[in-house]
Amino acid sequence: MAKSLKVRELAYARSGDKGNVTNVFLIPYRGSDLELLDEQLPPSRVKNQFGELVHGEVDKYIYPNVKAINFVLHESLEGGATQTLAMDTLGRNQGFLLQELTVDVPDDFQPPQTIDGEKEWIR
Amino acid sequence: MTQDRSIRIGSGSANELDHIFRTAKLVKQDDIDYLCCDRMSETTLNNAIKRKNDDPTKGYGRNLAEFFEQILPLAYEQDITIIGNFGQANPEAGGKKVAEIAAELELYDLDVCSITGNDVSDVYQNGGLTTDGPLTGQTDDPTALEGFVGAHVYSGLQPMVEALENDADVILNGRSSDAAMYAAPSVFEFDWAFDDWDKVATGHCVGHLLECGVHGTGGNIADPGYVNIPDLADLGPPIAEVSSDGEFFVTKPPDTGGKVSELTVTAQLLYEVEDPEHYYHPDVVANFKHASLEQVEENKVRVTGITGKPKPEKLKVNIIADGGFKGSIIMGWGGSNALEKAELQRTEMLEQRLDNINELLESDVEILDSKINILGYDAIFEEQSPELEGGLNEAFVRTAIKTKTREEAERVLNFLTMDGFWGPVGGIEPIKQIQPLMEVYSALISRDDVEMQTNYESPDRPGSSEEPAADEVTG
Repeated sequence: MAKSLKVRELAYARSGDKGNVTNVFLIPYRGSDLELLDEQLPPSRVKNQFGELVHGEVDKYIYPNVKAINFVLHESLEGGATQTLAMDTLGRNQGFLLQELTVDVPDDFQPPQTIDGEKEWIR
Repeated sequence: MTQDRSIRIGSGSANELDHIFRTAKLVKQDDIDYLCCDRMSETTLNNAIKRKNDDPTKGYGRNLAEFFEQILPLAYEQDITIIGNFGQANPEAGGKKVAEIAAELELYDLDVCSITGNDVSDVYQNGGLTTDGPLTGQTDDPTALEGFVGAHVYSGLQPMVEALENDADVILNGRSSDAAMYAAPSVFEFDWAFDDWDKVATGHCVGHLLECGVHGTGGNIADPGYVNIPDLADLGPPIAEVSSDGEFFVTKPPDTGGKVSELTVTAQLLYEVEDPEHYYHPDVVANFKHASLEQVEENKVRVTGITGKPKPEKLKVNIIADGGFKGSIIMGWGGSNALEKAELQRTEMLEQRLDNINELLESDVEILDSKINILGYDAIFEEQSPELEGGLNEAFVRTAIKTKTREEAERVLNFLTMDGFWGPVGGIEPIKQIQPLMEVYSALISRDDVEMQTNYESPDRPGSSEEPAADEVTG
C-alpha cells in the first residue's frame, strides 16, 4: 500500500538566479530521504511542474555527501532579473513550486518529525 | 609560517546596500584578520560607469565614504585588512577617497591599494570578445549592442595577493570575482601556490559561503513551520576560520541572531551554482560536489572535500547595455469579493487599455511587453499558481509595461492612474514606479588582452609635500 506526500514535508527548498537561469534545490531534512526524492523527481517532472515559467531545459545534479539535489532551470526568468517584468525578478520563490510536487511512499512511512515548530535535522 | 596557523575572515557585506551597523558590530566585537566586502552588482556597475562618464573623479561606490568613515577606524584599531570591490567603475578614484578619509582620521600609516584593468570596453568595441564556452547568463551574441554601457572582465587573485605582499591595509577592486576576494587572504597567508588547484578551490569555497553575507547565516532561510531562524533583525555575518591545510569552519559572531548549521551552510553551498563539478572562477574550476559538512558545535560547521581543476583558458566578461524602462502601477480593493473585483479590473478595464493604448493616447507609444497580475493570487507563480482555498480580504492588480523611453512609460502610467478609481468600488490610490532596465551578457576574453594594475596611495600628512606612490604594473 502507498500514500502521497508533498515534497515540502520531506525537504527544504531555496532558489537563486544567474542571468536567465535559476537553480532550485532541495535539502532533505533527513539524509536518508535523498534516494526516494532522487528517484521520483526526474528533470522532466520538474520541467512539467514549472510549465510556461521555464522555456529551456532542466538539468539535475546530486551532492552525495551533504545530501542535496540541485535542479538548473534554463530560460526561467524572462531574460533575467534586470529585464523581466515578472514580480519575482530573482526567482526566489521557485523552490515552493518544487515542494508542491508529491512523492509516493509506503503507508507506514513517517516524514521527519516537527519539533519546537521546525523539522528535525538528521544526517 | 607554522603549519598549524589559521586565519579568520569576516564577511563585511553582500552588496552596496547591506547594513553597515552589522559590519561595525562584527569589527568591534570579533577577532578577525580580514574583512571582505562585496559592493557590486550589474546594476551598481551600470550606475557607477555612468557616474564616471559624467565626472572622471567619480564611479566608485556611492556610499564608500559612509562605509569607511564608520569602519576604517574600527578596523585600523584591530589591525584588520579590508578587501572589497568598493572601486566599482573607478577603483583608483575610490582609493584616493579612502586615503583622504584616512588622513581626516589621522591614520597616516594606512596603505591603500586600488586594482585597475577590469574595463575592457575597447576590446569589446574592436570585436575581441568571444561567446563560445561555458558561460552562465549568456543570451545572444552581443555585437554592436544598442545602448552599450560597458564591458568589464572578472579579475582574480594575483593583483590582490600582490597587494597583500606589499602590506596593503585596504584593497579596492573593480569587477573582481567575489569569491577570489575571500580566497586571496588564505593564498597569501599560507603561501598556497596559484596552481595548487585544490587549495585555491577551497579558498573560493570560503568565498562562496561568505560572499552573500547573512544570506549564509539565516537570511532568506526562515520557513515558518519548517525552519526557524532566531533574531532576524540582528543576523550575524558569517566568519570563516581557515587553516593552512585547507580545512575551514564557518561560524558567526557570538551575541548575534541567525544560525550556522548544516542546513544553512548547505543552503549557501548550493546557491547560484549550476554544475557543482565545474564551478568556474578566473583562477580555478572548483568542484563542490563532494563537499562534506559537519556541525562541530553550536553555530560552527566544518567544511571539507573541496577540490579544483586548472583555471579556465579565458576570462569571463560582463557586458552591460541599457534595456529600456519598466513601468508598473498597482491598483487595489478590499472586501470579501476583492479577488473578483481585481479580476474584473484586469479583464474589463486594463487588458482593453493596453490593447488600445495608441488610439486612446492619440500618440505613438510603443509597449514592448506587458504583464497584468493580481498580487496575492497569481503575481509570483503566474499560470502555475496553486489553487486558492477561500478568497482574499484585499486584492491588488499590478500592470507592468516595458518601453524604450522613460517618457513613454510615464505617459502610460499617468493615463492609467484614474482607472484605479473608475473601476470596481473601493479602489485605493494607485502606486506607480518606473525603473531603468538593463541587458546583461557574458562573453570571454583572452588573458593576453587583460592587464591588471595595482595602484598605491598613502594618506597625506598635513603640510607634507609627498606625492602618492607611483603606479606599479603587474602581469
